[in-house]
Amino acid sequence: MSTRVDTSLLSEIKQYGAIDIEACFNCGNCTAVCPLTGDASFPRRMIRYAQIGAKDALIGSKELWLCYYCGECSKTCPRQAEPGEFMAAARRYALAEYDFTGIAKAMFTIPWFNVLLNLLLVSFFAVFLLAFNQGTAFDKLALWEFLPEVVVQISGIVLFAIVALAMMVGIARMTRSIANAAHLPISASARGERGQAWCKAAWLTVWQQVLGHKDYREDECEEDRSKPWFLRKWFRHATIMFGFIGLFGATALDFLFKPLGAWVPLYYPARLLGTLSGVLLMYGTTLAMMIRFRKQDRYAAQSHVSDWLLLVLIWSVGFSGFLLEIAAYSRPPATWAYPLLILHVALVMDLLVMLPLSKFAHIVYRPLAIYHQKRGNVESIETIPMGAAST
Amino acid sequence: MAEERLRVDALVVGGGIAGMQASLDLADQGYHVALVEREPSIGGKMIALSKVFPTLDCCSCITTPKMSAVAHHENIHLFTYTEVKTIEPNGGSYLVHCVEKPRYVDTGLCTGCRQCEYACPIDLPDPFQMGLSAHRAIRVPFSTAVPQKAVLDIDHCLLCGKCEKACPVDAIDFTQGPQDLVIEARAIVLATGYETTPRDAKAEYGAGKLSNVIDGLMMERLLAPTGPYLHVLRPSDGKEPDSIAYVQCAGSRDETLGVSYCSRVCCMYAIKQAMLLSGALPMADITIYYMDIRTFGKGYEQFYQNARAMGIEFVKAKVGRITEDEYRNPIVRVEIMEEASRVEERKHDLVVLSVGMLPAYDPRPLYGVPIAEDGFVEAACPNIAPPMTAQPGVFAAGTATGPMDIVDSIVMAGAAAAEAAAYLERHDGEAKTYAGRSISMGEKEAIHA
Repeated sequence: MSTRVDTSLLSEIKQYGAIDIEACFNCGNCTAVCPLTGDASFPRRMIRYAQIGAKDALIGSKELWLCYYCGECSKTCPRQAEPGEFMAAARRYALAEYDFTGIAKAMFTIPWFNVLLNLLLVSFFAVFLLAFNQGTAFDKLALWEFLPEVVVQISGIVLFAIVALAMMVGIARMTRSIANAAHLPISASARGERGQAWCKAAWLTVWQQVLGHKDYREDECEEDRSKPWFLRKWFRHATIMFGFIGLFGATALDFLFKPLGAWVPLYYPARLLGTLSGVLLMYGTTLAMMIRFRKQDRYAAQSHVSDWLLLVLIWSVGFSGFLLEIAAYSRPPATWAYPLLILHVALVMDLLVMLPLSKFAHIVYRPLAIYHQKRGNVESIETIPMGAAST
Repeated sequence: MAEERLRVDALVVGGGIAGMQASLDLADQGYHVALVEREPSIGGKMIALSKVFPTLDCCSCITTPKMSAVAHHENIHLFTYTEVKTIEPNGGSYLVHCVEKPRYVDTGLCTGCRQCEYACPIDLPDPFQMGLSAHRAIRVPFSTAVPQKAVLDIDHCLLCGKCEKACPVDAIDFTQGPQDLVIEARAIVLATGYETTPRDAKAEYGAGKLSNVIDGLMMERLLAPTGPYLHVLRPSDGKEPDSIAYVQCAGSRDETLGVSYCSRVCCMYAIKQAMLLSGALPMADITIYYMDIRTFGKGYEQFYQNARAMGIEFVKAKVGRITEDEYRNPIVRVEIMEEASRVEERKHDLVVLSVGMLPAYDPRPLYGVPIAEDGFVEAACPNIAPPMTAQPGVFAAGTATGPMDIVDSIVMAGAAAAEAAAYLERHDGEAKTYAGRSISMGEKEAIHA
């Protein structure tokens, strides 16, 4: 199979943040110090792909998504070429390649467009929601009379469907890239006796890696190991992730079981779940922003605009949500909650739109890459005694 | 304290191979030279080495005659255990104030018989053996030291007096103090040498805490005929290593240590040591982990090819980490760049860090000689007169100017001597009265007075 050489690949990736990567002389120190390399080999090979213009091999590398950026490679790099930052930039590049609209590319490479698009989207959604307002009651706080819940639900579902569709396209493009790079037919290993491998890999991905943060916990840099557990990077990520899952669950429970607009006490199970999840989310995002601001840890020394955007967006959603909750339970009625509701829902919608277009998409691409990696491992172990039948 | 004063044509600072060569080359032309060496013996780093590349000649056999020649040359005034303290311009010459540190031994009486050493009860890590074995608090620095005179480490001395009783010539003198010395020199050659990367420089390589991770100079001692064990044994348990690994660029081409340059000698000394090890331990596996093999000199590439043909394993990989197992066997973690590339952890009995060359001495405060970005002496005209510095009359040679091997150091020392001689000729006001160049120091004093 031939390899297409893209001579502008390196300069293109540099637009995504890997500013020092030309200094790399491919010694392999980064791969050897990486706490996660064993079955997989990165970042050196990824950098080599970029340097020689092997675009298909790069965007088809699931290894990009196996890196959690602890920063050990950047710290010990003899050329100080920032391989960790390269991996982040290459992930951005790959993500933009999986996005068929080209919006992700523009957002990653043009900082002001990134900010502007989000401001415009939030404003648009706010105006859209305001158009459905049913008038404000000042003697009591009746949020869902002001903004009919059905409007939020229907527009939310429509938006979710569009985003899910875009995400599916992204998943398909990523899978095809990985299969192409590995010179494998896409569905070859999904059939027949290998069904077990499929299940095992999915189980390992979801249970060990996504929920258990196994590799994330192992991928700890020196500085992180000296911190208490609640300040470590993996824990921070876990709080944000479980906060998200919890809030998603609370919303779903509300949608399924709670009458529209009904007032519930704080200890109502879905509300309690939502509150606790919100606390986790706020803890994680606030801490993450502080660490990015302080720039002391190697992995947070360089923050791309897309890193900030996602954090700020999630934090704003969490913060406005909490203000709403305070308003809902305060006496006398806090009428400032009406505009806040519009803002909160508009922010959530913007976050949803950002799912396939920003760093947020890692919630899909990363588990998918881990799954492919695990499946490769499981299969290679199981096929050795049977001989190389598939090749 | 009596102050000695000496007029010479040139002062050479540093008694390693470059300093010795520059001194000899100047002295042989008839110039009077003062050679000042900080350590109790001349010989520098070279006298501690086992063999030289690419000829595998015995290092002692090359260095010792030079050391003797320096010590016995009628035009060379040798000052060991002496440091330059201040320096002042003196109308076309320099007044160099030195301090000779007390040896607590009368060098005029000491015969180097070592009776004091046998009597001394104190054992200290021997720096000449790179800390692999011990020496006494009073000792002759090493077997081929020049001068062959004892020196007492007063900081660790108990003042028990055993050496004083043992000395057959009553040379021990506990009352000695520092001796001031003024040298008036018209030219100066800096041959202040280098240091190696500290073994604890890299946390990834165990920060010096792994006992079976040694550096290149330690291996030189293990291989040398005058070494600590007279055999290659690893430090932790004295086991004969069956598997030895070299970690190249352990301190060179590494910006995390602020060293972006190549130290030039490490590839060759690692290959040389690997060859010597093949002789010393014929059954041992020897691996060299390298980023690039740089064998630039005459006969060097053939040397490398010979090593490959001998079965020494060369692995293109930068070692990322070194750890150790419960038996203190070092484990190196490398990326093997074959096929899809993979990470391997390989266990060895002994790991040698091919440490790089670092500047040893900052000449700016005393000599006003600028240093380059890498910390080594900066040449004023690097392409046409490498030994010349920005300071008139001050020249530099050898590894004080940057990483180089023995051959290049000797060549540059010769060049520095030639530059210094030319300078002396140009600036010699009373050149005619110097005719003959073999006049004694007394006469010279008279001429200048």
